[in-house]
Amino acid sequence: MSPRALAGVFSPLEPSGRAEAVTRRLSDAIALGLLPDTQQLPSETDLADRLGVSTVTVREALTALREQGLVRTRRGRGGGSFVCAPDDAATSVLRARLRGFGLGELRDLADHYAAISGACARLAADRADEQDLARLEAATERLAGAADAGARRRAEGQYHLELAAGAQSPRLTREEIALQSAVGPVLWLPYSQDATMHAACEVHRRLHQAVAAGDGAAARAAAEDHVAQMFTAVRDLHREVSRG
Amino acid sequence: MTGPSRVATPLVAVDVVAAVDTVGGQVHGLLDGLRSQVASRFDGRRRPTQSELGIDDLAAAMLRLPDLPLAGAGFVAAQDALADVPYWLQWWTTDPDAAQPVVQRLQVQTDPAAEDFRDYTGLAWFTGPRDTGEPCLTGPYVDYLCTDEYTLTFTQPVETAVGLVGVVGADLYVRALEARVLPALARLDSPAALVNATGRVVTASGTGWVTGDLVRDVPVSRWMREGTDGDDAWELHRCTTVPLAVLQATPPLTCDPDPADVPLSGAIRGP
Repeated sequence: MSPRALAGVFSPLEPSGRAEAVTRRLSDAIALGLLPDTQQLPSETDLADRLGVSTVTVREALTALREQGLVRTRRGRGGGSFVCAPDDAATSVLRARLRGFGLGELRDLADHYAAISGACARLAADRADEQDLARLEAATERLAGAADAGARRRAEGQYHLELAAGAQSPRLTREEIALQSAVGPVLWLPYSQDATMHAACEVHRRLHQAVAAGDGAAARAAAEDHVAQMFTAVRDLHREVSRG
Repeated sequence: MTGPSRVATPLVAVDVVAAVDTVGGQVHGLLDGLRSQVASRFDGRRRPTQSELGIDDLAAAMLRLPDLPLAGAGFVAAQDALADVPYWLQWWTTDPDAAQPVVQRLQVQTDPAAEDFRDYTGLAWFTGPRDTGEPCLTGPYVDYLCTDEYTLTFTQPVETAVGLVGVVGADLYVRALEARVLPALARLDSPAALVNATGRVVTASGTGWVTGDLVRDVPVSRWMREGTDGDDAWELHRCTTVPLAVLQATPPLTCDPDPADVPLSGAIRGP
């Protein structure tokens, strides 16, 4: 993950619902693996400074994270708050996050994602060279070979970064990074199902063929189909997690 | 094939080539210094630790040169080249466009067991110098691991008595190189583009191509490889310090070339 993405974790927050916002920012970062297991968080005062909130707000957020089992606090010398993220914790955080989305909000995010991915794919068909294409294919093979859900999400995130880089667009790449931080791992939750993951790999390969042929319209269509497919799977999962 | 108007053109294309070669020569000159500093730490008796590399001042100074706006510079270790860590990037970055640029060390995950570790030894700017033993230029490419910008990365292999220990390198934003060459490119009397060895456009003037496009209808990579200077429609002028070239449309055979007659470039220049 880029250092810029990590810098985003500790950038100042919007004023409303601050404790929840701090809780969400940190739990997302843990789910994304930006804050790995056992990493020590900055001190309460330092966190308050960097996030632009009061120490009371930080304390409230840390309490919520402790209750979710995502943070452990040790007192005394060498003490502090430490990330507690065993392998499947990320998945349960993301499921909780998915429950927090309204269906309309999720649809809107998928639309935004389709617009970015579609544009990247069309431009990549014009501009990607053989090395760009080879990196896309390698990312798809990593996804196909990834064993656990977390590795699949990381491989998919990497794939979409390579697609944006293949478009030769720094702005679309930064937009892709921002969208991944906001929603990516939630959209890729259904990849824990083998069938969903393999279907995604199939669309990736259709996209590669279009890029290799320089067919922008087909590449865009494949990318949009890919996001639509992800959205259908995540919508079903949304219904499942909403049932409780 | 040569008419009166053709004589002046190569001379101007040479200006563009010279502007690029100056930048390439400057960067590789700096990297020569950084490379010998790193190499001197590997005397064959003992591998140094990351804190013993001693390149901090030199790398940071490279980013503070007033006439060369580098965005990053440093040393990237080959696997197990250092005594204390399996992977290591001793790399500095800055934003050369900021009002008051701050030079800082890049923090990257170098623990191969960590979730966000990315094995850089498979990336083009590392494999290029490792496999060829030669200085390399990677890009233009979107560097989403470090700068999130459209970047050119210059790297050189660091060969020592104990073999390859890594690469030294420097990042230059594409827009910084553009700023150096675009004035000379825009003065040419026919459309032209600065391209890399795969035909990727660094910058262009008067052509349908723009930065980031891939030239597909001219066989640039074959010409670069096999040393063809062009055909009836296009001429290729190679740079010497970097694998870049100026691809210029063969100028029209008129006795008195008027910029307004040249399609596109005339339109862009306006009245």
